[in-house]
Amino acid sequence: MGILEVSNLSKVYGNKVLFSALNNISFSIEDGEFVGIMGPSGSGKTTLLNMVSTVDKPTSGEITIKNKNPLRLQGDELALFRRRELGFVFQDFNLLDTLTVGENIVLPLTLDGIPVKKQDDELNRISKILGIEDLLNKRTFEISGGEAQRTAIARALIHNPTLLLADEPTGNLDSKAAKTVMELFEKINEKEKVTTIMVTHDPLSASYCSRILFIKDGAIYNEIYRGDSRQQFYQEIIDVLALLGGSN
Amino acid sequence: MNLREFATKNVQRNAKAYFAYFLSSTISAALLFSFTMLIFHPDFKVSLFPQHIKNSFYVTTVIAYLFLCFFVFYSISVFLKSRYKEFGILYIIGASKKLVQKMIRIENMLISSVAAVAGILLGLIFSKILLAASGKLLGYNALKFYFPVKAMIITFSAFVIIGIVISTFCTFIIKEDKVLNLIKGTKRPRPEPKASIILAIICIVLLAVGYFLSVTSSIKTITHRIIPVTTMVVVATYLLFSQLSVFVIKLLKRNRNLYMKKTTMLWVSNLLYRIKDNTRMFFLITITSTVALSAIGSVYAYWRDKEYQISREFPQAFFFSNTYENKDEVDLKADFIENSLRAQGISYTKANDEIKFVIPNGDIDEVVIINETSYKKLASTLALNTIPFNERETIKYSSFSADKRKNIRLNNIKLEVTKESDKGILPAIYRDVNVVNYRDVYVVKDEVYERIDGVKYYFGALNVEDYKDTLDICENFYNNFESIDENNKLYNNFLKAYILESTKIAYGVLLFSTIFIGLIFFVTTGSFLYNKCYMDIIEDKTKYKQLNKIGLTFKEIKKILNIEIGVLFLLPYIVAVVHFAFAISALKYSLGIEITVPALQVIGIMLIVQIIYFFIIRKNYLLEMKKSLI
Repeated sequence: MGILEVSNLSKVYGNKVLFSALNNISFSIEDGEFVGIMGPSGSGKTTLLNMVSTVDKPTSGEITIKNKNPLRLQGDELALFRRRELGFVFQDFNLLDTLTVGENIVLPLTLDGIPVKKQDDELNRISKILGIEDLLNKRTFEISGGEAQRTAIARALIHNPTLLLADEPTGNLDSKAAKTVMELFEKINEKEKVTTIMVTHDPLSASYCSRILFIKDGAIYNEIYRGDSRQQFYQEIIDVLALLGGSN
Repeated sequence: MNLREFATKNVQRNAKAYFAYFLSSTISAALLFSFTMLIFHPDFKVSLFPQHIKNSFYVTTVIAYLFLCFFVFYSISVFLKSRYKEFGILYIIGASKKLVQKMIRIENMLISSVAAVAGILLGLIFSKILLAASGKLLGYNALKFYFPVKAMIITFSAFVIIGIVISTFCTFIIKEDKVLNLIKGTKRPRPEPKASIILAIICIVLLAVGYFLSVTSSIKTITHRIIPVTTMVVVATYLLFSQLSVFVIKLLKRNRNLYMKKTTMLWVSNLLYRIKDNTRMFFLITITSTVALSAIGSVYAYWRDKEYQISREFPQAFFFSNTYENKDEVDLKADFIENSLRAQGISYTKANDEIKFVIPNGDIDEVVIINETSYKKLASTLALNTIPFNERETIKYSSFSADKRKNIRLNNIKLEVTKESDKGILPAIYRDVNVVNYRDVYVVKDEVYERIDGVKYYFGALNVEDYKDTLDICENFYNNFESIDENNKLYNNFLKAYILESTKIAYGVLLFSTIFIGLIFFVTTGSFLYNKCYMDIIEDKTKYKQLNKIGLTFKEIKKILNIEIGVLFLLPYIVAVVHFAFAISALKYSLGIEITVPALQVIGIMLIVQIIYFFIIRKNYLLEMKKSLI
């Protein structure tokens, strides 16, 4: 039994003109995996991520995260589920500019009423892993995009979530910052054993994953596993994307 | 298509965006018009009121006009800022600064003049309704409706001038680099608001001094204190929102156990920016609400208290005085009243005697002295107990005793003030029509009285059980004696029932006018807040949507928004209520007016209305917010 089980997931949008965004998708992700989701625009990869992140509800099908079924939860219970079980990294960071970097990171713990001492300990631990110890007292507009994304990752990880979900985390970054961020994702996955799902366009970013699901027209098109060489994996991704066709 | 056509079409086709601006312009025009109309009202004569009321009225007028200017400028700057993107596009396609300025000028002229006309119409309807309502409420037509040509001209020309001035100064509001930044999509960094500890301390000191001066003012000092105290409190209020609040929030942030607990971090950090961003708005709302509250509160308190005031100032139902040479005239008047009372079968008490006006040694203000015999007569007409005293002593009677002297020298005779009474035994008699001053009355032994030189006056006083029954006698009296009094400037006629009636009318007018102005202020500030709120919700929606994604529950969002909207809607009013409490207690301490009940009534009504308004806005805000969440 994987940490995430998705079975027969479908999503249909619209009232009169129906559009099927996801079509009977099933897959499972094991504890400690780093899975990338790729596919052309409109293939349904973001819809899929939204279902898994409980932000959107499927038309049919089941999702289990660590033996829990978030689809049975309602409203605020769902928000609490996200807060405690999931960690989010967004393309545009979504940091609050009224808070310092450190305050942004501990926000999930603060909201849960964790004692300040424990918050500080966790903040120290996580900021060391991400190499942002020196930024903690800075404001969000004083740091670079790469630093902002590392802050966002720290916020997503501080409460030790079951699942880390990333939506185009390198989409707004230059290549150097993107590389640093992806190396961190890889490191966290390997050292901290954080199960991660990442949606991306970028084959280079995707090559850091251990497995990639390709989606086309709402269904799984292909699935490839990384071998020893990241370089080779990158080549394989390019090949699949070429076969997939369309704009990636 | 020339520029004029472009600008006109801009307004026509983008009517929705311009509508909010047009609406606020119209409201300010209506406000300006109604206010000016009232000030120029032929029946509204400020000169009739005592000096402290006149002073308060001038302060109110100045603040009202300043507030109007601020309001217009504020809504224009908000409106122009919301169009940065449009200006950006114009700049990028090569429009010059001058061209953009010209476009804004044409637009503004168009909107301002239409808004002025609409505002005048709105103001006319509004004031017509209110004037009619006041007639119903007060039982007589306090102010008649008139066609205010002057106010119309002033409002219209003011708005056209504002339109021209704005377009000339708009380049100060629109900064080209900011506009271009906006179109490039770079977010303007928002550095943490800073507060200066010195300014925060100055704020506290100013508030403390201002409050202290207002609660310690007396009848003598209040006239001079109104303007400096107002200035102090106005400055302190600005500092309160721009400095002290930032300072306090920062202190709060330093207490990490408090700050880093659940949603506190979110609302505290946000509040820091909110209050700083809205400093000017908070300031304006607080000051105008304070002015409106104080105006309504004090006039209302006076209006409610008028019977008590009049009883204190005019102890007897009828009182006449004149120089001793005109003794016969006083007797004639007293006899007339006596006969009228007898004819109506009203029982009365009567006293007549002489008094002297003396300036005590080393003093400037005149006092009145009476001898023991007439003191006893007066006391018996008023059913007061007389106080025994000896030759070297004197009893002071004063309804507004300001100085607490231990002894007094009259014609080099030193007398010890043994007893003071705040009950009046004589009305505030004046010798010179131009100097209306409350004179202290000293009672001395008959022998002492004879030895003191002074201007001799003669008085006649009559008292009845219920003076309100004598209004018709008062009217008859005036019909009879008008011609006699015409040439004589030294007489005093105090007919209590008549005084009560005319005070009722005069303060009724004033009360109505202040309520009218206050109402306009509250409506305007209310619409101000409403606009502000709906500009915030756009930003808040995206923010809370993201936070909800990472697990902020709707319950928590509700909690945060309750505080944030609560602060926006209630903070300025609460500060205003505190200011008002001190302002009106000045009235209590200086004029001895009963204020607790009227003050609580005014505060209660305002807060209830404001809280209801808060709940309505909050409900809509949360509903809107919930829709945008998952």
